[in-house]
Amino acid sequence: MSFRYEIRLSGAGGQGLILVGKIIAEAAAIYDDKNATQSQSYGPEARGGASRSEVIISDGDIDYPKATDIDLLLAMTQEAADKYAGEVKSGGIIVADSDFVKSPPEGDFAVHCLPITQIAEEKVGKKITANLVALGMIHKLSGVISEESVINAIRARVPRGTEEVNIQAFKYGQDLVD
Amino acid sequence: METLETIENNVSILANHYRKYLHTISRFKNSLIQALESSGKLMQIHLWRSSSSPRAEMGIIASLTADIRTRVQHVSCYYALQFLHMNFRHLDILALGITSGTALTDVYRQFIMNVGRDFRTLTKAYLETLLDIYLPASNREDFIICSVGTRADQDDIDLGIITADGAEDEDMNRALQKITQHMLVYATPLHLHLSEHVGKQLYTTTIPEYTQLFEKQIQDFVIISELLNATKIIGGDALFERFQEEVIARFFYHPSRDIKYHEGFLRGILGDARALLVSPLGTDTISPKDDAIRIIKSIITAKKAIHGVQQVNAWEIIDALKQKEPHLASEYEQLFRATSFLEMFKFLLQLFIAQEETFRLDEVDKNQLALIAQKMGYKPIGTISAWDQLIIDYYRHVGEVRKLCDFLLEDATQHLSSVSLFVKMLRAAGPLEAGGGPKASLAQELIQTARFFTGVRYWEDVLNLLQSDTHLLNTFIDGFEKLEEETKADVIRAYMTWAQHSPITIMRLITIMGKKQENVIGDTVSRLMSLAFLQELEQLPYITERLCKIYSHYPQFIHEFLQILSEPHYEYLYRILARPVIDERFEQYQVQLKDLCEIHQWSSRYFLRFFSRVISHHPEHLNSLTSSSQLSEIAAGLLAMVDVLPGHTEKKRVLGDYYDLEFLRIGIGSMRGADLGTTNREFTEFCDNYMRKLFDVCSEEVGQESTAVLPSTDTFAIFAAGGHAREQAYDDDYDLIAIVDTEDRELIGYATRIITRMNREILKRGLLPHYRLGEILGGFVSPLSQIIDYLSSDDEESFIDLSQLLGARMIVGSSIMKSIFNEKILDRFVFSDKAFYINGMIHEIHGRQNVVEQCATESCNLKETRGGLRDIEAVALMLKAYLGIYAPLSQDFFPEISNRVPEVADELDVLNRSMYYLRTIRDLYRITVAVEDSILPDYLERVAPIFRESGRTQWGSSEQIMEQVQSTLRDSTGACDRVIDFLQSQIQQ
Repeated sequence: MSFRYEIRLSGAGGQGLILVGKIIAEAAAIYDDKNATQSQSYGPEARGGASRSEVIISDGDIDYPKATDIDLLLAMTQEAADKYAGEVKSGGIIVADSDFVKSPPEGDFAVHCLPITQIAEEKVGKKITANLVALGMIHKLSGVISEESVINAIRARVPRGTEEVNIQAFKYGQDLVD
Repeated sequence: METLETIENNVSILANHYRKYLHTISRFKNSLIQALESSGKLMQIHLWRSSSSPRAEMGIIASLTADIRTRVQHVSCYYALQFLHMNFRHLDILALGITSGTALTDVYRQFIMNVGRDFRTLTKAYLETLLDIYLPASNREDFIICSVGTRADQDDIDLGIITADGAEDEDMNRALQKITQHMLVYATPLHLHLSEHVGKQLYTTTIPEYTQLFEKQIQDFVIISELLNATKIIGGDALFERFQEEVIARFFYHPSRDIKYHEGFLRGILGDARALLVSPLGTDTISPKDDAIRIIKSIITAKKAIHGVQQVNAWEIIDALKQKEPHLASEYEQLFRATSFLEMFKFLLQLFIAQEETFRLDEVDKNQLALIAQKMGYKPIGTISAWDQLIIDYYRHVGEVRKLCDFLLEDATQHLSSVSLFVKMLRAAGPLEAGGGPKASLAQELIQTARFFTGVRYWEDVLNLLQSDTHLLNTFIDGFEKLEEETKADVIRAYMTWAQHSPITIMRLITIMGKKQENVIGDTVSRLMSLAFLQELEQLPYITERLCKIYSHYPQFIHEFLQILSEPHYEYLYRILARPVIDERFEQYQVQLKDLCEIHQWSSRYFLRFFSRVISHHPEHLNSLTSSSQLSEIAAGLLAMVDVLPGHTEKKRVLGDYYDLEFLRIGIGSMRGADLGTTNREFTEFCDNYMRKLFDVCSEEVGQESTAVLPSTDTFAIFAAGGHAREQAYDDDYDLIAIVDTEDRELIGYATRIITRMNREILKRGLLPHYRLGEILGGFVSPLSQIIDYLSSDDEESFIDLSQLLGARMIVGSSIMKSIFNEKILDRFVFSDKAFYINGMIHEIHGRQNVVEQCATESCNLKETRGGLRDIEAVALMLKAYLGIYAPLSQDFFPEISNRVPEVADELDVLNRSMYYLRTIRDLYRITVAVEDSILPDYLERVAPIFRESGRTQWGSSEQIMEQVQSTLRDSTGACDRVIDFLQSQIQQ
């Protein structure tokens, strides 16, 4: 029986969620030799300020590339947490940024509401790396992709010269969950 | 292998994501070479150089083995090699082009076109080969694969896949699922936006699915934009032609077609263009796509739909539009060049930095930036690096594009207005029929028709029509008001769903209606809508950013909206503005917007009058509200500009702007807790600047109209009297005394003409110029001889005028005139007989005390009450007379004379403090409540926060302020009495 893992990354434009989606998908598909699909918000939804990216990872064929039963939700804003928490499956995981999610969702799922942006700002010195801190948390909590693959995918995706700082942010995210 | 090393070296200068292709090559190249060698076909395949027939070579590679997995890996390895060769080849051609002497923008355009063409050819070959592997042609139903995005973009490939009606396309979808996976892993990911939003299948859609979707609602304009730019890359012509006719054609303008599709698309795409245009540019990031390219594409796609242009490439569309609209040829030419530059820059940023849309300049590798500049043909000039020049050009192009697109947006709006169903509906609306009638529900009809257009955001033409046609607006509002309460509530709710998609539209509608209903009392429909709108707004995601974005581009519009709000409404806005904004670009606007709300909420109408005048003339000043020094600099610039302007009308207009802006600056300072001394000093300074300059301009104007010699300032002087003379801020009138030391009727006539013109300008500022002495003596300008005669008479009123003259401060006039005034008026009528003046004033005070009301808890007159400002000013005048002081009564008068009358030094200290406190309350009351001397405790709630926020918490509530006022008045009364006693005792000696 093949496994299927659905991740939804949600928040506001400019928070780097599309990039995280691409990194996860490429880590799984290119470096971990799994199947993966990645989609992103486009059209009017993205025009309202919201940003959403979805990744589905499977070791078999992905016959339906839309997320319907979310295993892990990253909510980087309150609006995103409010909108998508209801679609997280029973026993799923919600990762939220407590800097922006002041009322974490409640339900039959585990919530990890931690100061993601603050960690990025204080430890990495760059607020903009909050997405990579979140990626570290997702990696640790989901356990569906290998660390080496994620780091390879980070290296292949981030701008030249920023590789180390982004990997550092990723590792801070992993530490947050420990 | 040497050739692989060459490729690796070449890739090492590219952005990191190109390593994916090296990864594929290194994984499968040995297997591929081995298979080719075994089959003897190695020589037929271009592995280490570009191929001119990739489709044929992929076919050969795919035929090497029967194993599907291996076939895909081999083809993907070949694709990766060809993809890298293609990029390197075009970079070499670019370098040649740069040195060729051809205009750079032409080189850029050619580069992007060629890369796009070759990338399309390569990906088409890859897609076809994979399709052959997973779904042989013999098993396929009729289908087409269309490219719907930018051809040269290598970050993703936007595709639309359409199959024949009712085709059993499970096999096709299964094949596409595999291909999508391979594209993600080995090549460029596919993006199937159309399939994600249309139809039931995962990857394919049918023509009926599109038509059914569009019948219901105009839908997502992004889908329509993609459809309008669709180019068939694989599949049959007949199906594509049918698709164009049945699905796409409806969005092009044609008088005989149902206009709603075209109109809906235009409203969607123009709304998107406008939303992008109002987005402020990042300060430390650049995004060629969001900053400009998307705006260009939205506008030209709108124009394409208007003019039926069939081309799909941006440059070809612009060329076609140039033919269709020759009057806009130069605008399109500029757009053409800017597009070339921006597409080239974006391509190289993605090629050398990262496959992103937004680039943070502070974190990008500087060597890579230098490389991009060099590839684009830039060279260092002296100390200016090539990159610096490039980035300057970038902002220049972005600025140009935004300006041009703003203009073209207006142009497209005219077309929209001429074909719109809504505009037709509104124009057809006649006057409201008595007792209601069908036209009474225009608001209802409008919102019902708008259902098909749900989600679109551009309604400027409709709103412009409502705003400009008073008759229509009346019909609209009256009809709305006449609806049954329940229906009215339903209609308002319906408008709120509109607000979800386009807050700016409803905000503007409410503003238009609100202005019309400004003076109507009660729950007008505009007030009901405002409240419903603010409640709705609070629920909308990312509304803080959205409001800030609107404000950043349309500050005046937001200002107008705030003008029609009631005080309780502001709480909603404060809650919204208190939310954290994620995008740092908006932080400054968030602060400014909050400030603007506070000014609107806490300002008196008196203050708002100045504020609104400034903003209506110069909306750009809204961006400076948070910075007093910035406003001050602008004001200084305006004052300086008056001297260099050629015409008097223009000079007076700019001078008026100077006055209003300075008034606004100082008023904002007061609201933020500025010290009274600073306020009075700065206020007096700008008022004097204004009056002196106004005198110069008006003198010059009168002088140019006549050959006569004008009165000089040795014979003509203007004195400020009353509050302006005492350096008191926020008077709503201007007491003036104009004096000439001549009997020459002609000179007096000219002086009068100057004063008349000055009065006209002063009135425009909302100030009433008063010439009490002039009125008594029969003209604005009073000859000195007449003043002397009048003061020498037994007229009882003359004492008041003498007091005004004693307190007067010369603002225009020479030192000669000042000496004459001192000698002939002050010496002769005041200082030579101090006792007469002091006794007269004491008589005056006692006479008034019999009629004035005491300060009460429910109301208190700060000026006329015993111990109030008038008493304090009277005491000051007596002391001025007693001590023979020529200088006007400055705000530091009491401390300055204290050592000359040590007997009452303590009393003077009390009077000084009392005057300070009472004037502070007076000023703040004027700025936040009304220009009244009587203060009402309820309204002190508007004053108290200013004390609280400036740390003076002892007066942080209206009760505390009232108590302090009463205690101040008591202290002041005692001090006044004691000083009067002292003066009486002195003059009797």
